[in-house]
Amino acid sequence: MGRAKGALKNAFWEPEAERLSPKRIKEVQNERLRGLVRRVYEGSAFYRKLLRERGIGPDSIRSIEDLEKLPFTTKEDLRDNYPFGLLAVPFSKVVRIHTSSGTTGNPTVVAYSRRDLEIWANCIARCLTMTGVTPEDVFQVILGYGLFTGGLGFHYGAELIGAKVLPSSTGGTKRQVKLMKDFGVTAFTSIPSYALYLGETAIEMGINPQKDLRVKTISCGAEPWSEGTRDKLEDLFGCMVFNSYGLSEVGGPGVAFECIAQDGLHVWSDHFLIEVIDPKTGEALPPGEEGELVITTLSREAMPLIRYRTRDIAMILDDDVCECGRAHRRISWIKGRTDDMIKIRGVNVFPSQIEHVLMRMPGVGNNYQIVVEKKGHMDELKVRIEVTGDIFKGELKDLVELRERISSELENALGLRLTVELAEPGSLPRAEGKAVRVLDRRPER
Amino acid sequence: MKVRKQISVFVENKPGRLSKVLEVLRDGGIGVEAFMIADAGEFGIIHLILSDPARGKERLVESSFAISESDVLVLGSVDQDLLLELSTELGRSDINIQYAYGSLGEKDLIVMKLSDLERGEEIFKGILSSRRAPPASSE
Repeated sequence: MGRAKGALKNAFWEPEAERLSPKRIKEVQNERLRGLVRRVYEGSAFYRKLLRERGIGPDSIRSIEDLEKLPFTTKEDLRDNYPFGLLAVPFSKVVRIHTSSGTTGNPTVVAYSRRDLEIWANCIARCLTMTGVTPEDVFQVILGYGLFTGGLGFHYGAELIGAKVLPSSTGGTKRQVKLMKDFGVTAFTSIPSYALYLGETAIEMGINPQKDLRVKTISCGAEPWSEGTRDKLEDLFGCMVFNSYGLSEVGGPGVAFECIAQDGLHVWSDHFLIEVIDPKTGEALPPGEEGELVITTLSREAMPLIRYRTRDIAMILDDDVCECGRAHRRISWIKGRTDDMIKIRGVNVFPSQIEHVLMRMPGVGNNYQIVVEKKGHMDELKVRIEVTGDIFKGELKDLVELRERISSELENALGLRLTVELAEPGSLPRAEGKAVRVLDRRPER
Repeated sequence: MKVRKQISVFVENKPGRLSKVLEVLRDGGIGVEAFMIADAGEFGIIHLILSDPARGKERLVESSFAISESDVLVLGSVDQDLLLELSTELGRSDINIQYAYGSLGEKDLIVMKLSDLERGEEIFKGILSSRRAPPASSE
């Protein structure tokens, strides 16, 4: 691995905030939660109304133990109050506006005050420092710039550290690889499927990512992925790869990030309060139980959100202090989204589970598609996988065996019968942006 | 008798795949001397003996086919007696024929199992008669 793990144990951007004890974190959270409720009561007509309806006054919330008294905020609330209905400051205080990709209806708007931008950049700087980025690094931001929060979010965080930032954005894969090589890029961030594609493209161009590139640390996020893909990426580039989590509604990337222990993602708990709830009943779930992640933004000024339902499925991990020295609450990898979850013959299936299995099988390509169909009364699950030159050895029986092996591994992992289909290279939709992984052909119920 | 390179192409078992492979080869000016389609349900392999296997391979990879190559024995003008003798000897020596293709005697035969034999036969007849007929005038 590119960097000594030991050196990263003392890598802090904001040492004081990052090294708060569990007790201090709770005190900070109590204080900031009280402040948040007061602020939205004063500044946000939306929340004032919502809180009044529940009989909550500006001083009713004393500590995070009272959190469950507060109402949830949903994506629909954001859409219904498009564009600026959730502002908690005068419009004159807003210095930046982003939106999330709204494929249907209104996009959701995220507004930032100057202080929001400062905190955001510092959160990203914490994440990057934690994963080994220093002022010496050449940092390539391979994420969309513009309305998407990814590009600019990482850009300003890396710049704050003092790294040499290369804002190469997305697309033009061969040019990306060329820049990476010519400029001696040592760190980059991108979505995971594109990172794989970059590595493969490098190999096609005759560039060995491990020998001819100098990449030492990579962070990936913004789409569902699995630890199997992480393993594949680490093998491809020969360095550690870290999981990055955030969502535009609460400000973009920099909400949670993996540390050197690669054992869950630290949520910056002085700025974000997290809960995991049962998505059906809304009840809070204890650590170790999977459910929907709910986030309260403790520090945001322009557009704070109370108990925002992320639709992301994860669990809170046990709250012992991590080997990296941080007590900031850890969450698991995101298992899927409440809206990505496919129910097949009564079993919940997440595309990430399937990806996880495939990525661990040598020679299996990263391009796959999940097809769900209705045969009679039964749901049929089919997984289509591209055959690559690496797997194909010219013998029919090898392919038949491979198909059997994949389907038995998948059946074990999912607890469901399914069929595996081998597809020609390039015949499945390619992942330049976010990949289309699931094709649900069942008639609408 | 010669040891030659066989090029094997992975294809999904659906109409039009052989023609796609043949098209790529024709466009590259590469001759097909023998071929076989092996199938395993929804996918299959097209095995090919090509006039220029190296360039054929290159062309097919460029068109993003998954391919592999292997050494095979290619025999000319084999009759039934010779085939019997050969297979007997191989059997005695405990050498397995993993697969083989070709036709015996002087006739070149292509054997096809179609999903719709009757319609396939009609289509084939149509093509043959238009080949035999003098070129249609374009007026």
